[in-house]
Amino acid sequence: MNWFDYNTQVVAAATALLGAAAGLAGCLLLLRRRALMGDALGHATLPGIAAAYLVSVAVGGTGKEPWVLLAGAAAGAIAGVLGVVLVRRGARVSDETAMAIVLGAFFGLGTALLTVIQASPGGHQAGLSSFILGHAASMVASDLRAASIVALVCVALVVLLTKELRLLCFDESFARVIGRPVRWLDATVLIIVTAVVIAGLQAVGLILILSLLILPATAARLCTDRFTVMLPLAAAFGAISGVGGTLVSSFAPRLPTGPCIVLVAATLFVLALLFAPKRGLFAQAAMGRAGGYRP
Amino acid sequence: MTSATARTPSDFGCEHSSSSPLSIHALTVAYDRRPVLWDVDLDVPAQSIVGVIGPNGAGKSTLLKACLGLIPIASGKVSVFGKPYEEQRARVGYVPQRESVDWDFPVSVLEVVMMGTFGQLGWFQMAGKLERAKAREALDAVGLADEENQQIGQLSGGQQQRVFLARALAQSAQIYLMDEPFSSVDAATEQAIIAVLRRMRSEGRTVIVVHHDLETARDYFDWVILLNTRVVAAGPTATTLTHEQLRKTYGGRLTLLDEAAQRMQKAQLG
Amino acid sequence: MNAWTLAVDGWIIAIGALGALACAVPGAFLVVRRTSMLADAVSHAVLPGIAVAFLLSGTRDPLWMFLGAAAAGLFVTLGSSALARIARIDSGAALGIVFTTMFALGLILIVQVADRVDLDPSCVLYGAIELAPLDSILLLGVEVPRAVLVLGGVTLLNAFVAVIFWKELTVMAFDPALARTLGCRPKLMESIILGMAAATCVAAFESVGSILIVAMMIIPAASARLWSDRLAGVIVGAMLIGILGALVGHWIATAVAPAIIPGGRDASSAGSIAATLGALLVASIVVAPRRGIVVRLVHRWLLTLRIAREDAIGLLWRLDEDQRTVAPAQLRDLLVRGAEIPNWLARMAIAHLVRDGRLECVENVARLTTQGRADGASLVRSHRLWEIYLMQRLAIAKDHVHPTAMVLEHITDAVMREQLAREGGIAADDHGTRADPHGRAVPEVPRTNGAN
Repeated sequence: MNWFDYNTQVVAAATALLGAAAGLAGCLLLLRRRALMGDALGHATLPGIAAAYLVSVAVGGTGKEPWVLLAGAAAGAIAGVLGVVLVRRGARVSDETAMAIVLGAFFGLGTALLTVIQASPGGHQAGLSSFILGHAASMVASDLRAASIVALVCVALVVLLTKELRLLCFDESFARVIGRPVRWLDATVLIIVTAVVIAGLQAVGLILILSLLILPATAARLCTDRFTVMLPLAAAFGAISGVGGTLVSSFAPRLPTGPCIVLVAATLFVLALLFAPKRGLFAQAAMGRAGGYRP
Repeated sequence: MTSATARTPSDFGCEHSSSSPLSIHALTVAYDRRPVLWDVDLDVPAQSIVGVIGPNGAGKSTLLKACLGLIPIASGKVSVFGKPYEEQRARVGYVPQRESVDWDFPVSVLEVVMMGTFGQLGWFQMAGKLERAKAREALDAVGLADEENQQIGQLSGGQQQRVFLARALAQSAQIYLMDEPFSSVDAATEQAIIAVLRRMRSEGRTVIVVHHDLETARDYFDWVILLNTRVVAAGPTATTLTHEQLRKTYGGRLTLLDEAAQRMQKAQLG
Repeated sequence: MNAWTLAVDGWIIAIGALGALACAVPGAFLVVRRTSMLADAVSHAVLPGIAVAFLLSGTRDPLWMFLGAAAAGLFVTLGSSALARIARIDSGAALGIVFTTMFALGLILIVQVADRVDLDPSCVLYGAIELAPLDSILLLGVEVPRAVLVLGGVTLLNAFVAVIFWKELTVMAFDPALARTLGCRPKLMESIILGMAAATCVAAFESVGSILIVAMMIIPAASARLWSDRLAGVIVGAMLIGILGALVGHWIATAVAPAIIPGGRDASSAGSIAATLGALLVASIVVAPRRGIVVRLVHRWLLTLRIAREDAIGLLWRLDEDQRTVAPAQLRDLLVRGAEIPNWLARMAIAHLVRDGRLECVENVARLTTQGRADGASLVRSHRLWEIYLMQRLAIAKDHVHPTAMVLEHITDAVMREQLAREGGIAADDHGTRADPHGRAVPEVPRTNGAN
C-alpha cells in the first residue's frame, strides 16, 4: 500500500470516521461503567454472521452480500444484549459475569458454526473469519459510505441528546425523577455502541473493537474534566488512531491495519496518562510536591 | 362489613385532604417481595420543614424513593397536591444521598446545578441563558457562587452536598424530598443548609428531610415523622418528638412483623 | 467422523472434562467475587506472551510457550489493577485497555514471525482440542496426551490450594468485610484467587483455547450457583456441569453437526462445548430448584390457588357469622367481585374445596363442613388478630387495617396466631369475647383434626 494510493485514502477515511464514532460511543460506555459491554457485543456478532450466511445460502443466495452479514451481526449483537439482561436476571449474577457468559457461549456457537461453514463448499471463500481479526485493507468505497453513515448517526444522536446522556451517566435516579425515560436512553446508548461495533467489524475485527471503544474515551477522560470537551476529544483521538494506524500499516509491509490502529490509540492513551494536565502522572507528581490536586 | 373480602370504596379513607403537598395513603413498599415499609399513612402539612427520623434500616430513604417512583410500590398510593405524582413531577424536587453518584464524573458545578432545570426543558433543547441564570442564582443561595467552574470532585463533602441542594433549588419545585442532606457535613455547612431550608419555607415551600441527629431535630423541624418499618408517630415536633415515642421508634423492631415480612418473601406473596 | 474412537474422542472428552475440573475452583470464586471478565482478559493476553517467548527462544518448545504465557497472564492481572489505580478509572475499563492492547501487539508480532514458524492466532482463540491427543507423552507405557497431564496437574494444584485455604476462601467469597475482621487477610486471598485463575487460563489456553476457557470458567460456576448456595456445592456442581458440557458438546460437534448441516464435516469441539455450556445455563435457569423459573411458576400457581381457596372459606365463614346463606353461583360471584379473583380460578377453588370435604353444596346452598368451619375460624381469627396488632402496634387507622390483614392472614400459622393473641393481650381462654377493631368477635378455633 502507498500513502498516495486511492485505496489507502479510502481506508484511512473510513477508519477515521469509525474511530470518531467509536470514541463517542466509548465515552458513553465508560461513563456508564459498562466498558466491557463492547467486548460482549463484539463477540456476540459472530454467531449472527454465521447464521446469516447459512440462511442466505439455504434460500439460494451467495451468502456474501455484505448487508446480509451485517444484518446478521446486528441480530447477534441485539441477542447478546438481551442475553446479558436475561442471564443477569435469571441467574442472579453481576453485570460482568453475565457479559462473560454471553461472550463465551455466543462466540463458542459462532466458532462452531464457522468451522462447519468453512468445510462446506464455497464456505472457505466467504471470508467470514476476517470479521474476527478484521481486514481493513480490503475496505472499499461502499465500506467508506457505511462508516460515514454510522459516524453521522452517532454524532447526530450524541449531539442532540448530550443533555440527556450526561444526566443519565451522572445521576440516573435524578433523570428518572424529572421524568426522563431512562430505559430508552440506555437503549439508545446500546444502539449507538452496536452500530459502531458492526461498522468496525471489517476494520479491526470483533475482538479489537473493544479497544477502539475504550482507549480514546479513557485518554480523553484523562485530559479533561468536562463531559462536553471529553466527547469531541475522544472522537478526535479515535479519528487520529484510524488515520495513524492506516498510515503506519501502509508504510511497513506485513503490518495488519487493525492492530496498528489499536496500538496508535494505545500510544495516545499512554501519552495522555503521562502528560495530561492535572490527571497525568507528571502533573500529579508536580502537584503532589506542591500539595495540590485532590482526587 | 358484611362481605368480608370486599374492599369497598369506603375502606379507603376520604378524610385525606387533597391540598396537602404530599399525601401518602396505605403505602407498603417491598424489596424482592419483602415488605420494608408497612401501611404508611401521612399528610404532610404545607409550608413546613418536616424531619423523617428513625434508626438505620427503618426505611427512611425507601419512603422517599417510593414517593418519587424510584422503587416500585407494593400497594397504596402517593399524591402530590391531590394528584398522582407522575402528573406533578415539576412540583417535586429531590436531593439524593451524596454517595449515590460518582463525584469523579467530568462535569462542573454549574453544569450539575443546571441539570435541575432540565425538567422544564424539552428533548433536544439546549440549556440557554435563562437556565444558566437560574443555576447561578441557586448557587449563590447556597454560597457556592465562586466555585461554578470547578469540577465537582474538587469540592469538599459539605460543598458537594450544597451543590445537590442548589440543583434542587434550580428545579423551582414546591415540595422537596431530601435524603440525608446533613450527613458528614461540618457545623458551618449545616447552618448554611438549614438557613436555605428556612428561606424555602418562608417562600411557601415544603421540605421533607431524612435526618439522623436527634439533638438538632427539635430545633430544625416543624413537624416530624418517626419511622421504623412503619410510622410510629407523625405530627408537630413539640408533641410528637417525645421520649416515649422515641423509645418506641428506636426500641427494637417488631418481631412478629419481621417474621411476617420474611414469610411473605419466602412465599413470594405480595 | 462417524464412530467415536476411544483413542481420539475419549481423550478429547477427557481433556474437556479435565479443563472443567481445573476451571471449577477459580471459576466459582470469580463468579461470586464478580470479577468474571478476568478470565477473558488473561486468555486473550497470552498471545503476545507466546509470540515474545518465540522471539526470545527461537523455538516452539512448550516450556518456553508456557513461560511466555504465564508472564503475560501475570502482566495483565497486575497491570490492569495498577492502571485502574494510577489512572483512576473503572477496573473493567482498565482490564479492557490492557488485554486488547496486548492482543493487538500479539497479532502484529505473530505476523512478523509468520514465515519462520506457524503460530496461528486462531489457535489461541479456539484452541486445538481436536489435535491435542496427537501431542502425547509415554507415561507408564501408555501414550498420554500432554494436555491431560498439564490440566490434571492444574486441577490437583487448584484443589490443593482450595483445601489449604478453604476456611479463608469461603469467608472471602461471600463476605470480604467479615474476612477482614476475622483477620483472613483478604488482599492475600484475593491475590491467591486471581493467581489461581490466571494460572489455569495460561495452562489451558493451548489445549482448549481462550474462548472455551472463559466459557468453562464462568458458565458452569454461574449455573451451579443456581443449584446450590454453598461454595462446596457450587464447585462440585460446576465440575459436573463442565464434564456434561464437554461430553454433549463434543458429541454435537462430531455427530450432530455433520448430520444436519450440509457439507458433512465436524464442527469445532471447543466452540460446541462453549455453546453447550451456555445451553446448560439456560436449562439451569429454567429448571433449577428454588430459583428456577419452572419451580417459581409452579410455586406461584399453588400459592394463587391456596389464597383463592382460603378467601372462599373466609368469605363463607363470615357470611355464616351473619346468618346468611348463598348459592354456589353467588359465592363465586362474590369472590370474583370482592377478592378480585378471576372467574375460572374461583370456580376451581370451589371445586377443590368440595373435593377436599371443606365445602358442600346442598339444595343449591354452599355451606362449610365441620372441617371447613374450623379452617374458616383459624383464618378469620388470624385476620382479626392481625387487625388488632396493626392498630395497636403500628397505629394504623381502623379503616386501613383490613387490606393488610387480608394479605397477612395467608402466611399465619397456629404458632404465629397464638403469639399474635398474646401480644394483643388476648388470653387463650377468652372464648371469643374479644372484639376486633370493627367490633366483631375474634373467633376461637374449634378443636378438630387437621385444623390449619
